[in-house]
Amino acid sequence: MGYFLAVANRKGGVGKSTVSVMLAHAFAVWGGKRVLLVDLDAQSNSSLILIGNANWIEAQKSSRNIAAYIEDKMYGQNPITDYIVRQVSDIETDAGKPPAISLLPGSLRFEDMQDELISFYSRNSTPFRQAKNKCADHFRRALQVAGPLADLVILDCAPGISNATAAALRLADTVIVPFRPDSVSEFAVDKIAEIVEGKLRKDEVMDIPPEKRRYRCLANYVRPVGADRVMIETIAVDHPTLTTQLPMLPDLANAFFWSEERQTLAEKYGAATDTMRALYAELSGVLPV
Amino acid sequence: MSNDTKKLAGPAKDRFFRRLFASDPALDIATADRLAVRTASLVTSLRVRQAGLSALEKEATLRRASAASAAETLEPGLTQVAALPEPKATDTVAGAAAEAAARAEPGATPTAIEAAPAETQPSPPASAPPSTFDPFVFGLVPVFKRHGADALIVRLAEIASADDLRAMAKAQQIVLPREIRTGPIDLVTLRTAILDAVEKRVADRKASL
Repeated sequence: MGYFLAVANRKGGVGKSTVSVMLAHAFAVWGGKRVLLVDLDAQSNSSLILIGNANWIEAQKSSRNIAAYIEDKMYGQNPITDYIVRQVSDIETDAGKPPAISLLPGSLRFEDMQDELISFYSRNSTPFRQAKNKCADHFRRALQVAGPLADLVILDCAPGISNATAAALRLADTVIVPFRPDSVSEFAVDKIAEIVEGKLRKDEVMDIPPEKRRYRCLANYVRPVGADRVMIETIAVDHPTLTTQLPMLPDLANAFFWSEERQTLAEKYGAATDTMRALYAELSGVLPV
Repeated sequence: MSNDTKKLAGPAKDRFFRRLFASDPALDIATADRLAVRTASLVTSLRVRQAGLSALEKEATLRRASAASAAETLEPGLTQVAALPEPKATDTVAGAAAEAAARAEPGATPTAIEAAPAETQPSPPASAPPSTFDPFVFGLVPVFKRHGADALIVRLAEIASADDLRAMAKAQQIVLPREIRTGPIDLVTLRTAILDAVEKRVADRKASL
C-alpha cells in the first residue's frame, strides 16, 4: 500500500503545487520510488508543471482527469487507472530514463463537480450534513484505491477546505503544510493544524506532542532577512516545522516551466538542487516510504 | 453588578491567569505558563475584585521591573552573549532568566529597584550615524513563548539603547503605546512596555471561538 502524503494549506500562494512537484521529482529520481500525484486543485498547476498545457488540454478532452474520475464513480466502478497519465514530467534520471511518476490530472471542472456530488447525495431529501459526509466519504474511497498503484501518493490540495481537501487530509498519513513567512501565515497554519488533527481549538492541538502530530510545516519563499527568520521561529514554537527551508530563488521558480526536452534534476533545478536534496533527505528520513 | 468587580474575557482573561500564576513564587516560569494556558482554555469569562486585580497588576509590574533591574546587573555577561554571531543559544536565555528570577526574590526586590536608578536615553541628534543594530537579533514572540516573560526581559536587557529597542519592536510588528514611541524614556519602562505589547499579541493569537 502506498504512503499518502497531502500537501495542503488553507491559504493560497504558499507553494503547494511546487512543493508537490518537487517531492514527486525527488522521490522518483533520487528515491527510485513509484510516485502518483493526484491534482486536487482546479487551477491544475501541478498538472501543467508535469505535463505542459497541450497534454493537459488533451487530458481534459479525453476525460483523463480527477473531475471525470470522481463523477464517473458516482454512477459506476470505473477503475482509477483509466484516468491516470503515466510517465509524466520533463525530467530524466541520471541514467537518462524517465522517472516513474504518474498523474491524475486536475480539472477546471473539479469545483462544479463537487457541487454535483453534493446534489447527488442530497437526493431523496437527505439532510445536508449527511449528504456532505457522504460526499467526503465518496472522495476518501475514490482516493484510497490509488494506494496500491504507487509507493508514494502525493495529494496536491486546493487552497481552502473543500470536501475533496477534507477527505485528502483525513486519508493522508502525513500532511506537509508549506507557508510563506508572513504574519497571516501564522493564522493559516493554526487553522490547518486544527483540521488535520481534528480539533476545534489550537490549545487542543498543542496538547498533542509535536512528534505525534500528522503534519509538518515547511517554510517557502524564504528571504535571507531577519523578519522571515523570526516569523519562521514564531511558527516553529507551536508547530512541528521542517528544518529545511525553501529560499526565494529564481532557479526554483524557473524549474516549473514544462518543456518537451527532458532534463536531469540538476539541470532543471540549478542552484536550487541542493535545497531540494536537503528537503528530500529530511523527509525520506521521516517518512516510511 | 457591583462596581468593585470587573468581568474579564478573551485576552484580558488570559492575561489575568498568566499574571496570577506568575505571581506565585512557588511556580517556575514554565509551570506557571502551562497552568495559565490550561486554565484560560477552560474558563470562558470570570469576575474578579478590582482591588485584587490592581494588586496583581502592580505586582506583575514590580516583578518585571525587578527582573529588568536584575538583568541590568548582568550586563557584562550578557554583552558577551549578545556578541555571539548567532543568538539562537536560547539555553543561555533560560539560564539568565533563572538567574534573574533568583535575583528577583521578594526580599531582594526593593533593593534591586533602588540600586538600579532608571537610565534615560535621549534620542540621538539627527546627524548621528545610522545604527548597525539588527532589529531581528532575536525574536520577541518566540523568546516570550518559549521561555516566558522574565527571559524576554533578560534578553531585552542586552539592548542598551532606546532607539534600538524601539526599532526592534517596530520591525517585529510589536506596537508600543503612542506616548513611548518617541522621546526620552527610561529603559526599564520601555522594556516593560515591549513585554506588555508582546503579551497582548500572544494573547490575541490565543483567542479562539
